[in-house]
Amino acid sequence: MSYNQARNITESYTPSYDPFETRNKRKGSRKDIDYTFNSMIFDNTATLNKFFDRHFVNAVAGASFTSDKRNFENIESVNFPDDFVLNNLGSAGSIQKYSTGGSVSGLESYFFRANYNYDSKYYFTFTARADKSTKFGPNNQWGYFPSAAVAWRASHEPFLSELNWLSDLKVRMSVGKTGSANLGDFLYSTFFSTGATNSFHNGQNGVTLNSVPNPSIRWETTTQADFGIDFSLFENKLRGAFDIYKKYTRDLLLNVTIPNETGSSSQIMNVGDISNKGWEFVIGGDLIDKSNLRLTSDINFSANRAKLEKLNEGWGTNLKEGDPLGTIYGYQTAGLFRTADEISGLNAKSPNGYYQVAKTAPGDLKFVDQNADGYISSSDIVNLGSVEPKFFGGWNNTLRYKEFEASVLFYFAYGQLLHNAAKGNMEIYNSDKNYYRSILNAWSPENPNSNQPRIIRTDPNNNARSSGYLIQDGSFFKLKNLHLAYYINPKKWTKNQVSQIKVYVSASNLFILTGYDGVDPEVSTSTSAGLMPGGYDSGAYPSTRTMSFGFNISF
Amino acid sequence: MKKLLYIFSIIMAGSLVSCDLTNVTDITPPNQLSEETVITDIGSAEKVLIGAYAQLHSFDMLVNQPGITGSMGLSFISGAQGGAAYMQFYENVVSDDNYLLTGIYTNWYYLINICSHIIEKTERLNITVPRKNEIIGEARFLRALGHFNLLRLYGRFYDVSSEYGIVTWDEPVRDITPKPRNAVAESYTRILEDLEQAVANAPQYTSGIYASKQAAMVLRAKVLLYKKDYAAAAQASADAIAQKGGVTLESNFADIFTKWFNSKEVLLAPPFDDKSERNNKAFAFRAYVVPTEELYNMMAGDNRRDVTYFFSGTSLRNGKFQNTTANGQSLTANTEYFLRLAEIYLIQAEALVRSSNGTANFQAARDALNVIRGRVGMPSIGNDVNTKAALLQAVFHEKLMELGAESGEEWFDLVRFHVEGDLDIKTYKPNVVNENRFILPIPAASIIASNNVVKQNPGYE
Repeated sequence: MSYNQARNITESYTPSYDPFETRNKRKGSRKDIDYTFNSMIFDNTATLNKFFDRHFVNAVAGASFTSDKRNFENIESVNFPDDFVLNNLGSAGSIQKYSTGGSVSGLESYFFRANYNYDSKYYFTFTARADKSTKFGPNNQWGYFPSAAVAWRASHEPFLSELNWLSDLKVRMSVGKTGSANLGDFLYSTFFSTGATNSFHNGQNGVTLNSVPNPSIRWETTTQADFGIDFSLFENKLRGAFDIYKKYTRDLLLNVTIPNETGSSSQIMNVGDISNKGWEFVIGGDLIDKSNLRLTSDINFSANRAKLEKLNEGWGTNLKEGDPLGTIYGYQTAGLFRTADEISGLNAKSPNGYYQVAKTAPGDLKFVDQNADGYISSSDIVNLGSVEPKFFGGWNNTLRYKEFEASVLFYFAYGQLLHNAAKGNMEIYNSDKNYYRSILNAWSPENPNSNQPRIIRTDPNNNARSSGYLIQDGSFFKLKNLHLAYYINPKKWTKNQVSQIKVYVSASNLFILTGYDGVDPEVSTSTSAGLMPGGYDSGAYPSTRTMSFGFNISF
Repeated sequence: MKKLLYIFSIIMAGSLVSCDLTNVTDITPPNQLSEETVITDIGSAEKVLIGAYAQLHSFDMLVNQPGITGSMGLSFISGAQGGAAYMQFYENVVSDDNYLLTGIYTNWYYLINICSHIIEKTERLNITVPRKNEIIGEARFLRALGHFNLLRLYGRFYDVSSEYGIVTWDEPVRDITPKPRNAVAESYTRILEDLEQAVANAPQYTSGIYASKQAAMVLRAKVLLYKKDYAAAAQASADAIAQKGGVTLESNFADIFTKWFNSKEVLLAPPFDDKSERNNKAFAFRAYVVPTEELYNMMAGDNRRDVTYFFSGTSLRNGKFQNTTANGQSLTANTEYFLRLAEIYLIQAEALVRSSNGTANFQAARDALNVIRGRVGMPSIGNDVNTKAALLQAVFHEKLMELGAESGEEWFDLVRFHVEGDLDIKTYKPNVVNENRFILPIPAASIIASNNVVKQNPGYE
């Protein structure tokens, strides 16, 4: 039985001398936000542990009841008699806005888990659970999720235990189903409430409609199968693991665009099925293992391929069944327009009078008319490649010599595309603001050989749109961390009080090798389809280079 | 195993008793009403109706729609903070992923959906008080207003034989199953059905804050004019003027724009205050869209120019939407004139001329125009203006002078007059090179999400 409460109270006050307050002729503004989250979990389990002979059985059965409640309270007030003392809510000249609200969800679960092993050689696990979530409509609340796993510790078999060089060898297999209900509450039906952005008219508080219901919303389930081998040789001097997996996610839940005629622009729905398959390979070893000198090195490689397997009705997307999930869509570019004749030639052939837009001029990007209808529209958007790396991984090395220790961690990813949206914002002119210095190299009649789009107010050609010009190879190799330490043994001066002193210097993000011309190819947010992390560099703050120096004393 | 089951069943039995802990899935959403509970009496129906009116306060309705329409026409151009999205409308080359396009489209449909809920659920109420039908009438008016604005922006409103109408709704949205577009003729039928009901049931006019029978009558005349049903439009205008009740022209043109939603000339304009109905229109109309010098110059010699414009330093500013005050608080809020009475005289004049058998209606048309001209002290149009072409030219000019820099009515006039062969739209807006540019694309999101069940407009596929 557990009860959890999180409360977040925010009070902010903008004093009357703030320029924005002055401009709006207000005497101080205050915001009070109070957010509470309560979670009550009532867990009941019964456990059985039993050894008999070489058999071991462990079984757990239980029921769990979870109730989550969220509440918020929001008050905006203005015009205070005093900025420093009488700035409490009670001193406000008027309350501008107020709202309270909340949501609630319940989850009822029954589960059973059984482990069995024979002689620490053969392992079997079986689990089953049934969940009922109020996030789904009355007919779709229950989800059933079984799983099973077997493992064989081959190194314990008599015929292998004789091999001295084989320290450990284990083969694993598992298959199981899990469910996800990571979505808002009560999306399955039409509801009305107050407090929307626009709910007041003529001083009266009205009732408005929540989002379009999704009566068929149901559990997202993932079935995953794994196969793996762990090994360790020569008394752990060489060790590693190899895993392959395949995941099939049915009825993926995603917030996606819906027909705008419903009065809503997006909805969480079960959009279809996706699959992920991939492998992971880890190998490492103690390359040198002497009392004064130790060198260990571990390296891992991973690769994953995600694919759209099936599209449910209702979800429109550029993706087609069978497409990789990380696909980036955009316009293909064919360099810059260099002459006005080229543009007017294309305009003359367009049924709309214009190939791109009326104000397209030399120095603008030329997009490729894929469907050859004579003009550029969203139907000319094509697949420009994938944001999924061909492989990625890390490489960690530790060297210890007497009292010195050095460790270095590299991180790498290869073969992924990245949408450099920061370049679109910061190197293609739109309005008066700060830009990258490289904007000085933009195309102009005086600089006709540049490949950067021209500088023009409001970017009428929309050169900054998602296109091949902004999609770049994001492969990189990065020194993620470097750590140097010196250990002092204090026994010379003290008896027992201090056991160890460590002095260290460490640095992160020291260098990066990449052909990508944004700030940091590692920092990226999800692609617009939201199906896969990464792929979109909005110019977010890069990973920082930090240097630290310090010492640890253990008493 | 037996023991385990025994223990387990004791626990289960125990947990079933303590209902509060285990009864976690028997819940209803807090502070939310279901379709069954939202409208149970007149009071609750009024609350949802307020919610519907509140949508007229959204930035898309108050600023973006008049801003982009006036940019497509002659009123506005993208201001310092307007950027490329607004500029596309001034250029009359709008891409199907323009966010303004999407916002306006989705918001009107949201309003339409609320209205459909009000109509359906209020009709079901088993009570007979006059207010019941009035509420339904107001909701029908708002739904018609929504469908009409969608039709004239996104559908080929000028061609009743076209299949490119809009998606229309006569019931609430139940799920996201895409609905195909109606033909233009059907779209008009749906709008006029709602308006007939609104004329019959909406309350008498008291102010422009709420929809009224009078507002419905004026909108009906306007819709018939757009539909090119000119004789009916002339009749509907005459009816609207005859039954205008408490609606009157301001004697002083400038007063409209300082009385805002309180002006008795105004048929529908959302109010504003310094609290929950605060908006930012006056600011948006000097930052996102600003008046064109072209229209300022065209208004030379007209007495309305000094009301329509003023100068801040050397910058031309919109005089119809200036800063305001409410409760002693200085604001950048303002309203949107969805309909005001002056327009009915201009609608009547055009409908009379276009439906005239010979010159039969010309004097009546001149009289209607002169009502509007007389109010602002402009000389009357005399008998010397006596050809159809000259009168239509006078109508177009008068609408531009009266309604310019407001909601972009001149854009629809340009299209309608071009289609009727009365002017060449390219001389005003050179980028409108063909019929495809008369209307906007349906937002790309709708086309993709509906899997082409909603067909894109020609030239934007």
